[in-house]
Amino acid sequence: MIAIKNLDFGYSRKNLLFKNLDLNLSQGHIYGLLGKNGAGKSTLLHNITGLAYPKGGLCLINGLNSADRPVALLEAMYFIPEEVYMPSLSVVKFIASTACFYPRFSETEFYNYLSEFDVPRESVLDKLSYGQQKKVMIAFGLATNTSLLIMDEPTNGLDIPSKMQFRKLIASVLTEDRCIIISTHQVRDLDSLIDTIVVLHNREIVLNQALDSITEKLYFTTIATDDMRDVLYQEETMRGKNAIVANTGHQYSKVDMELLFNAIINNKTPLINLLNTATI
Amino acid sequence: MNQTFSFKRFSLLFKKHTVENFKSYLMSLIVLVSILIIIIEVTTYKKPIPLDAQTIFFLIFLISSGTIFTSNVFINLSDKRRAIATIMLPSSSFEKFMIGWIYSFIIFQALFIGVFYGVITLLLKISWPAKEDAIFNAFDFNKGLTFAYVTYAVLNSITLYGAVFFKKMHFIKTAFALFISVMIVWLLNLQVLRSIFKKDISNPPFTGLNFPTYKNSYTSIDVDKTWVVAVFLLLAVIIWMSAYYRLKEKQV
Repeated sequence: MIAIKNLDFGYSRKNLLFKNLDLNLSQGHIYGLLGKNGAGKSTLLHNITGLAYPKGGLCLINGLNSADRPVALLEAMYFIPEEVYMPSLSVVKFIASTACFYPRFSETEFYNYLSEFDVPRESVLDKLSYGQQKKVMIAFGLATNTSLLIMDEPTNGLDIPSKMQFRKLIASVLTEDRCIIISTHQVRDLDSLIDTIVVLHNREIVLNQALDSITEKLYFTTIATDDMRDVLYQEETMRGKNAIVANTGHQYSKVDMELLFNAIINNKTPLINLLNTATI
Repeated sequence: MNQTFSFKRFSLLFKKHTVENFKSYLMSLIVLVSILIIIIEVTTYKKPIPLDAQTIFFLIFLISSGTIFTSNVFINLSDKRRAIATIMLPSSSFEKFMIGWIYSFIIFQALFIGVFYGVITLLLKISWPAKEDAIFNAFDFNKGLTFAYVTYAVLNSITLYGAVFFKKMHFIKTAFALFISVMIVWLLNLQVLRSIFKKDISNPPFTGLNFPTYKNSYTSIDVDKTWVVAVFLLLAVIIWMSAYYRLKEKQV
């Protein structure tokens, strides 16, 4: 669905943020794009959506160059930025004036999502709180039924019950012909939601792997402080050490995304190398 | 599906733009009417305003209010949040540009002419009841109005370009850039003319030539006004096209 080939991007030619970046994302997945603040997650999303032009290389979505912004492509994707713009219109008027641009938009679904988020349909958009505005845009994005849905820090501004609701809704809308990309630096918000992790670090995609594949290679566990096992990464906690070890025994464990993310951004090369090998 | 222009998509976009901007456009129109009434009434106070003065008022207000309005017609591209919503909306860049062009060039001029006539008619009934025929004809192209409309076209194209190009203070920055450009063209034009004719020429561009030949004698070369109008129109079209390509390549 998305094919990024040799992407070079930077705000100046001398100081490139991405160089020869390659990335392939397919339908039927929920991708979590993770990276530290300033890693370039939003910039990468802007390149994918055609909001920013690469200095070199291509970003193709369903074979169309996103930088050309063809209408057929704009109809097939919806992007929810971190900071959303809301016109001074009621929800009903906004739907009447904007939904018609998306051929697969479902008004029924939109109002269902809105009620699940507890946002009154009589609301005037620019009078809503930041969190409520975000919910309206998430509901709208889901109801467009576009094959590509991209969200940049969607959980910023959402309260805890709304974050749970968000996870529930996103999980329910994934179909085989839909690709969802969620970018965040709040790794915990994606827990039990995404099926593939993409980590952007030091101008590179250091990881693009399904959770199943990660658990085949790594074992996430808690070990005693005097445990002498050969750990790939560990963090001290009140209950001992949260650790990542090679999954040599083919045991199942749930991916601790925060731990994995911390391991990657701390440049734990053996762990990254292990992840990027075909099989263990 | 036509990727450049679809009448259905354009109608939807026009409707969306109108719905989202209706309040601010209506307020702007009321402000324009109020300013016109106050300034024309205060200037003329109980006396009918001469036709030439009406033409001058028409020209000054058309150009000033028109350029201010035009500089804000692409306000959705200035702020990052709004720009994302605008660029990502499924319609072509050409359709998005045409909305700004139609609003600022066609609709604004039509409304302005209507409003101006309305104000003059109102003042005629209230303040100048004795002079019923004192109303100028906005379509009398022999009275220099052709040049007024062409000037508006050029200024509209420049302001439209500035509205897309600049992120903030569109009007001031465009006006500043325009004055600098005009001064440069003026000075270059003088230098070129003086080097060609070896005379002390001081004519502004597009106004012909006047220079002394003998004692107390001047030679005048008039410029064909049709050519000036054609050049200005061509200039406007080129700048409109540049503004369109600028919009097409707008990044966030």
